[in-house]
Amino acid sequence: METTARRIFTVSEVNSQVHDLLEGSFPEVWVEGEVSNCKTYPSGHTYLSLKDAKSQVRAVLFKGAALSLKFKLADGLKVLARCRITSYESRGELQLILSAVEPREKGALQLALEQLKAKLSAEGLFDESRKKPLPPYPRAVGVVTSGSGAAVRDIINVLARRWPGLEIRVWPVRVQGEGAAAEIAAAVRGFNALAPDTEVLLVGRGGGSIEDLWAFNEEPVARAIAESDIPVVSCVGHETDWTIADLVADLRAPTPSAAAELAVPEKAAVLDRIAELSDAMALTLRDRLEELAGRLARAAGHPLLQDPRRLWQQRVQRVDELTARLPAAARRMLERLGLKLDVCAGKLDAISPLKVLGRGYAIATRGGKVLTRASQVKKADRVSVRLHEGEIDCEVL
Amino acid sequence: MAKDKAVKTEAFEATLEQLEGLVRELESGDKSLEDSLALFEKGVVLARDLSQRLEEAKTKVEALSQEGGKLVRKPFAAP
Repeated sequence: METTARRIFTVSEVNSQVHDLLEGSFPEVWVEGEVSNCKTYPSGHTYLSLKDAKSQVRAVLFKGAALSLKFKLADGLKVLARCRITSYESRGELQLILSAVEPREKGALQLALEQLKAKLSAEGLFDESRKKPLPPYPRAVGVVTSGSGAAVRDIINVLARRWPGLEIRVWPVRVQGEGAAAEIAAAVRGFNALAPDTEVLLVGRGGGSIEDLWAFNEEPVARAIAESDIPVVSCVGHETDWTIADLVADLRAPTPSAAAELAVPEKAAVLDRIAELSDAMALTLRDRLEELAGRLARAAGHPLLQDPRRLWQQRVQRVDELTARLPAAARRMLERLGLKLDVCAGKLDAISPLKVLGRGYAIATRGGKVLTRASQVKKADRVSVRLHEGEIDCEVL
Repeated sequence: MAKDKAVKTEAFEATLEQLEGLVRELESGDKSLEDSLALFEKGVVLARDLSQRLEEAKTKVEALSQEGGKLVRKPFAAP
């Protein structure tokens, strides 16, 4: 009994038979669980566990399947996975090979959007400090959108109406479907590399479903916009649609027409401004002239300026007046002088030596010198003696 | 050619700024009458030039693409 009933397996045989049994029994199943221990290797394959409250199972997402996933697998995500149940033969471990994964709590697109948003935000790509100002008076505007939609027509109409003389450069791209994101990104880079004198870029499309707008939520578009040296105005869909392109752009416009309005000034407004400046100049100059005219009138209104003869008439009159007063003044002055002379003459008379001579005194002189001592003369000198009246020549004996 | 155009663009902005500066100078009122008149005359010329540029400008629309890394320009007909 013992010998016939017993069959001995090698380990490989066990693993191989279990493997075949599993693959034959579970070619395709859907498994719900939470992702944990998730790790992507350089090969592109992702290894993870799926678990619920009581147990867990190993799983692998090979590179090919991973590429078709819109979002990234991460620990903690609740997912629904399409897989076959098999085993990893060399270890004898149960393993799920995932062919498709859907997030359980949110849509795949929504989750992808949130993941990319979180990543770019962490890199600072949405920071206000990165936003470039738009040129106030651009001359060349680039447009990245479909060449055949209403969006491009609206943009051209608004630009041409508001700011004539503009060079509008349309880079037509597919805006939805496979490869759209790559084309949009290439066009943004193309403007920067090949037409860098373009001063502002309008990147967007008209309205559509969230799937239609999806290209503007993809990383290549976000990167191209973030790296653009030319300022970018985004305009994707309608007012209520916010895409990642809108978050990265230097300015977000709610619609393509609105983007065109934001990109260029309005001719009429600029003409008004020029007229305003011209008026300001004319007004300032008029005020200035009026002020000068006023000053001139005030100066010219002075009586002297109205009849300049008054200037010399007054002076002539003054001369006449002085002339008339002159004789009387002269006379008075002479009279004053005469009076003084009389007084002086009286004083002189009182001390005059002539008065002394009158009383019998004489003055002896020799050679014009008055003699006061006898020693001043010697014998035979001639001396003059002045009397009250007349003179006597004498000789010293 | 592209370079010329860029210069022209700056010129519009620069000319407008020049006009604005001139008006400020005139309004400051510390200029002689002769200087004020000269500024006014210059300003009128600038304002006329700016207005003319806007009135006479023609919009040009072209389609861009690249072939082998080279820029290709074609006239663009709006849909």
